[in-house]
Amino acid sequence: MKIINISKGVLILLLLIMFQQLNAQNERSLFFLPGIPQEKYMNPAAFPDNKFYIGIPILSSMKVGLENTFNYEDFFTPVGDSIYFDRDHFIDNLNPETSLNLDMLVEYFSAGFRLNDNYFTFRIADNGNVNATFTKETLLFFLYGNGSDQYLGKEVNLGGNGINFSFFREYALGYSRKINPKLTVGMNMKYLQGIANVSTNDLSVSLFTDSVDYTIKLKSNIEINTSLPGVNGGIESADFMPSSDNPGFAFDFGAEYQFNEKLSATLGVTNIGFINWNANPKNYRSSHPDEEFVYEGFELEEYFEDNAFNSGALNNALDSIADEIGVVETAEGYRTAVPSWLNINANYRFTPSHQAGILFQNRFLQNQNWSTLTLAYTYSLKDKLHAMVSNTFSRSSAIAPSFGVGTNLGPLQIFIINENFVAPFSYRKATFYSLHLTINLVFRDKVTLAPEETTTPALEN
Amino acid sequence: MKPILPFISVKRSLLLIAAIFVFMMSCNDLQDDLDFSKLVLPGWNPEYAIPLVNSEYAVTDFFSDENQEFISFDEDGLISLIYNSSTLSSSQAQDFFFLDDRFFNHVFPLFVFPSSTADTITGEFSYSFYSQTNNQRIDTVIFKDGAYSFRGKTNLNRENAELKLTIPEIIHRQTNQPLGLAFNLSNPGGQQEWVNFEISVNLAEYKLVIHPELSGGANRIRVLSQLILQPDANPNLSPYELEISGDMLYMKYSDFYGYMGYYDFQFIDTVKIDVFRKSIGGSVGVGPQALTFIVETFNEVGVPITFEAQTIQAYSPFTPPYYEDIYLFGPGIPNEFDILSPTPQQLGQSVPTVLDFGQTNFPEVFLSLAPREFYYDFTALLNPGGDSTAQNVVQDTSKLRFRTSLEFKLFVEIDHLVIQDTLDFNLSASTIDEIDYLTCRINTENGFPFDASVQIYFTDVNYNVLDSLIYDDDSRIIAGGEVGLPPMLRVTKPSTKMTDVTMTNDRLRKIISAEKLLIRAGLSTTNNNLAKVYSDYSLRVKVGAKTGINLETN
Repeated sequence: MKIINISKGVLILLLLIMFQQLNAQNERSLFFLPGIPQEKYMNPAAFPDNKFYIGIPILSSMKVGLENTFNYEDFFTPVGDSIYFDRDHFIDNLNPETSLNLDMLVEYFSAGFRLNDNYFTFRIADNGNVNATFTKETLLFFLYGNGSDQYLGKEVNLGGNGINFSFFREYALGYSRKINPKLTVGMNMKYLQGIANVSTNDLSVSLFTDSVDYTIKLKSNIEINTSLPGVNGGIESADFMPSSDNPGFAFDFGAEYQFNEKLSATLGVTNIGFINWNANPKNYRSSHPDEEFVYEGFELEEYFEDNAFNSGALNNALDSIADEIGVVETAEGYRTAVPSWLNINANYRFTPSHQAGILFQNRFLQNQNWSTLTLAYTYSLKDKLHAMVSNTFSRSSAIAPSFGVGTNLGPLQIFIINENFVAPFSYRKATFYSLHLTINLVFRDKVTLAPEETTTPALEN
Repeated sequence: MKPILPFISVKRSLLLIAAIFVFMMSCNDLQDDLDFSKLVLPGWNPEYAIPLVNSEYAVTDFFSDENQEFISFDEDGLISLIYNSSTLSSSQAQDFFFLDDRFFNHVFPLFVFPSSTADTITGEFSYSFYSQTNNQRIDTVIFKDGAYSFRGKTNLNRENAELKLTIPEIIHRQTNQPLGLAFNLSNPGGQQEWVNFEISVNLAEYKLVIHPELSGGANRIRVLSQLILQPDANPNLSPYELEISGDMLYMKYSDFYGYMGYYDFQFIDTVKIDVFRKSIGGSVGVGPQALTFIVETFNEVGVPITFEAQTIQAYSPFTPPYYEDIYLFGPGIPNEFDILSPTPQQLGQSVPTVLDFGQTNFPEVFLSLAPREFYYDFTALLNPGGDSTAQNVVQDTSKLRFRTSLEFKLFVEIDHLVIQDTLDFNLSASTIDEIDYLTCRINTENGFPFDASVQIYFTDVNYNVLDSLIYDDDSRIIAGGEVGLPPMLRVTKPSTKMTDVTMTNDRLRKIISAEKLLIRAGLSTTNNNLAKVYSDYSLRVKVGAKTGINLETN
């Protein structure tokens, strides 16, 4: 029965949301850990302190993480040998909007070099992100069902939901320039090639179920676009190569200002751009947006055929509803925006070894804006080792401690950043978690440092 | 050797190891926490509701396409069901009333006296055209075909002799002249021992008209002869002999006047009363003049005809006594009646007779049996009184047609008429585990003056009941509309009723194995009182299903 399938689907989706705690935008720590060339892609004005670097292919930068508005305990309550999913408990913990944000980055190649006051970078990386938002009303509706007392005889608005999944390759050219000793500006230009996308432009449904005879009145405005490899046949690994049919463009820009030896601030906007999806496009749109469809059932005779009860008629009834919703399929190319970030950061260096920082970050997503505030402390042992601890405040969590450790072993630079590192120990309460590993070969200028000299270049006033 | 990370002390290393241990332990917990085979959904299931059936029925929708012809409406819209018999037909007259072949023979002795002038000898004989068995009488026959032959011989030895025959009853239809025949009997030199003659006449151009006072009796045909002899020198060998014989063969008529005698025909038929086709019990009372039995005949046979029924019976296979005799005029009174026949002036016309039997005991039989069919065995008696003076007129194609109809005005008083039907049933079992319960909500808005209770039995292939749909004693899911005052007895306000039937998963498991649906419905008029059914009545049925999904099995 389709009702059951819908229910199954919803539950699976809810569980997926839960378990896709793999990734997020764990780039915040890059603002507080000095010397990582990849900072350039979060802070376009970053001016690496090396004269040349190259990322170890594949390992140069790998990132995975997620940020949700919910955690395991919002769903489940382990009791003894069982896992309870209590509806009331879950509902009590629901936010007005439930969001899932999942990001993944694999940097295949990365390099950069300094030329006087200019720094040039280049990288090739695959990006994947999933951003999904479900309203509380939508989740309640599927948990209770339209036949429950909560929804019989009431109109329910299931709008405000959105899903955007994108997987694309990025070819980035970066440029930073020291305008003067205090001001550095920079930008990155990115050519994008889409690999796969599922996105919604609109996912609005309003539904009324009559409490007496279960007549369903439905209005829908749906637009779902997909560009998926292998939809016209079997899926092969080659299908997941970037397609020139899905070109895109994005750019980052930013500025960094050094107020004095201790205080600096950056402002950057990243990923302003789009991808045109033309490979295997499919569009599913409401044929009659916002037109009310009333379904009252079939003629009784439809359930009987050749003097026998036609059990298939029940499925026909459900198909009929789907048909009447009137979703038409087309194959037109479409455009999606790349999720953009705004970063405002300030660092204050008390001593050459001790630094405090603050970062306001906002991610502009469909149906949601994801804002966080991060406070960080960084300890630096010359240029050999950097250790950072921070806490990020978000609407889903007030406590999300992070750490980052990096070391420069000669030209070998290894950084590991673990945001909300307590999540593995208290994953039931974790709403976000990320892990970022960076291995670069970094070549610096040979500088003979005085014993108390810091790695931070002296400012010219 | 100086440590690479000198600030990490042994104590801190132990802390790190402890953290890793805690992490690994938490990984085990994570594995347990993600083992959703342990998932419990305490006390709640999503409930989904969907409308399944939305049907509106007028009166005509309750009858199959082939039965639509039974339905008629009067000027007020009152519905009648008219169950017509087949139109039965007798044989054509030419197939039961024949002109038999006739044969005749007569020998004249001839005494010839010598004469010097021509001599004429006359004679006459007659023969029976038709036997008078059964007192049949021929007045006039218009021949359509037939061969009328004369043969003869004589031993006359005259040089010149001629025989003329006249048959006064055989008259040419165009000239109105009797049939006349002439034969040359000359025997030159007397050389032949016998002179033979022969002729055959096609009767298609003739008619037979018999006047018994002239022809010497009923059904007789005269043959008048004239033998003309010319004088000659041949020796007179008198007495001579003249033999005349003949026959009338292959006669067919187009018109017949006279008296045909007694004949009878059987008219046997069974009429299905479709409205009770599925009934297995209960009674149906009818209002005054609600049931009328009508006999119609269309008679081209100009003969007095009486119909006599040996049997008229109504039948129900479920309600004792199963058979009930129908009386057209009342108990003990024979089911006999006469019909109209064409007069001689109406020869060739079909004369209708319509007999409206409004006082039969059909109403009582409906009340006791709710019969599915009735059977009759009528005999049509032609000339039943045997009055041979009667004037019959028929044509060769004349026949008698007969049909009956039972008009049932839906002006009824029904007390729990039970209707039963059987359907094959096959419900997919693939999702049964996922259904916690299923509630069927039945909403009816009934403009008919009938209460209806419905019970559905789920049975195996051998009709062993596995479960029933409704456990409640009150299975009335349709309430009859309110009926107004006589004489219209029209529903003034439709009735609405909502019925919920809930089946738990246990019951659904039983139902899923069913292969047959036994549907039994009880029908009663509102408050068991008389009511009339009009053409503008309707019944709306809406069925919705609400199901609780058992997520724990998913």
